Amino acid sequence: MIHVLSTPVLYSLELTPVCNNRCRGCSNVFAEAREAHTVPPPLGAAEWGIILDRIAPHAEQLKLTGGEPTLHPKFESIVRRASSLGLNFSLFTNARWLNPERLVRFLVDIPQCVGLLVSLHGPTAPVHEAFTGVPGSFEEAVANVRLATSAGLLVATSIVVTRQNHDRIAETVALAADLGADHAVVSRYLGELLPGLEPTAEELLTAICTTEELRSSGARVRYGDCIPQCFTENSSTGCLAGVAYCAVDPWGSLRPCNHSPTVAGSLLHQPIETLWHSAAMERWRDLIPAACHTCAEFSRCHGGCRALAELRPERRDPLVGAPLIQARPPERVRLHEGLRPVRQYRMRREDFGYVLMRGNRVAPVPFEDKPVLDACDGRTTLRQIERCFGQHGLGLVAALYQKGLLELELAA
Amino acid sequence: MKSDPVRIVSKRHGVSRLSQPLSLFVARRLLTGITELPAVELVEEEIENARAQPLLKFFDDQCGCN
Repeated sequence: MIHVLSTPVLYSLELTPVCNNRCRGCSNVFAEAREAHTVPPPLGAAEWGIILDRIAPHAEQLKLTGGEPTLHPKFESIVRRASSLGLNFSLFTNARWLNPERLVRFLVDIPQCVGLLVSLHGPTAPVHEAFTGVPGSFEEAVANVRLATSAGLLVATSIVVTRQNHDRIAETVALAADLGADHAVVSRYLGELLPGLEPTAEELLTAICTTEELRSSGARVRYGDCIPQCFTENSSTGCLAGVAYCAVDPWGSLRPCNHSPTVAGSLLHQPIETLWHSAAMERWRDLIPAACHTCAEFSRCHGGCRALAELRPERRDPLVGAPLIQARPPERVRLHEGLRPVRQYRMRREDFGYVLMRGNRVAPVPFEDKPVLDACDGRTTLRQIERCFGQHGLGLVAALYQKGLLELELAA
Repeated sequence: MKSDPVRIVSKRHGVSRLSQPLSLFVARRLLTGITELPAVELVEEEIENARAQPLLKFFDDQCGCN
């Protein structure tokens, strides 16, 4: 069973198809058309403004992407419109900017800009540029990440695991830290078959093992997309595309995710609710393999990548294997009895209960647990919560804390 | 090891697993009422950090890749 939200809360806006990199592993669904110069121009600022107005009542956070989003000729106008609507956003960019100083100054003054995700596909120019296809792109990206972090912008770097960099993850994470990045993001390649660039299973496992070791040692690194738990144990989180998250392409069409060619319809012409619950979206949600619904890890893994089920000849995520069959006992957590939970989320009523949201973190809570949420008021201690709601209430508080939706504070 | 990812089988197949609580995705086995919330022990002494992993800002649950 999947609790599909009444409307998406996370939106990836592909502002423009234009890009100044030539990534071999680009998974924009319009990448081929872009190379053939057959893509139409993107929406202008006014049309993006209409879309922002339509999604603002529903959106918790946006991701501005492309192409290279800063190459939209009205990039600043679009960002200002999002800002005026109070929409928090992150910027997914290759850090090859036309005017780096101006862009950084502009973003520093936008409080809704929560951070930049910058492509950094290796620790050296040859490795990075084996992916980006543009000589000099490494040096430019590195310089601009340093410029952005020096100005106080929060930056994370993104590495897509390839044949060329699968054994350079630790060095790339170290470089990100050296550049002042808050953390590094490791992603698997999601796209059509790409021999020569796409890692073998062994190479991907090497990258995953390195990432897990880095995380265990306290390094600030995480995964950027889903890696099925039946492929190998890992700390990635499942994909929320088509459930809480969607993409809007450069021409205003709503898609379940930026990797998927499925189009639900135009946001310029139809309400978000109509598109989100359309037959096309329902068909896309059904791409989850039936066996995944019985897997002990389904609630974490979410059944792999649905876009790959559209793009690959085997019609499914090639990493998805047989379902895992047993659940282990619940995690044990020790907490100080005097801690007081404090809400850090926004809450929206849904058919199944409430959805709690903080940035990109989303969690459902059933109606009957509302009194526990009400007690997370900064005044009630965990011991008091235990007395009122028992172990279930404490477990709910601990789970929300682990997900970052609550903080625990000691009384002054 | 084969290069076909599908042939890779986790060594943890069939062994105990922990599902993520508070998920929009609910496995059929959980519909039977099995709890997956953490078991909490309250203690008098201060615990430095009960989070399994540090929280990283933005993009925590969202595809941010190629």
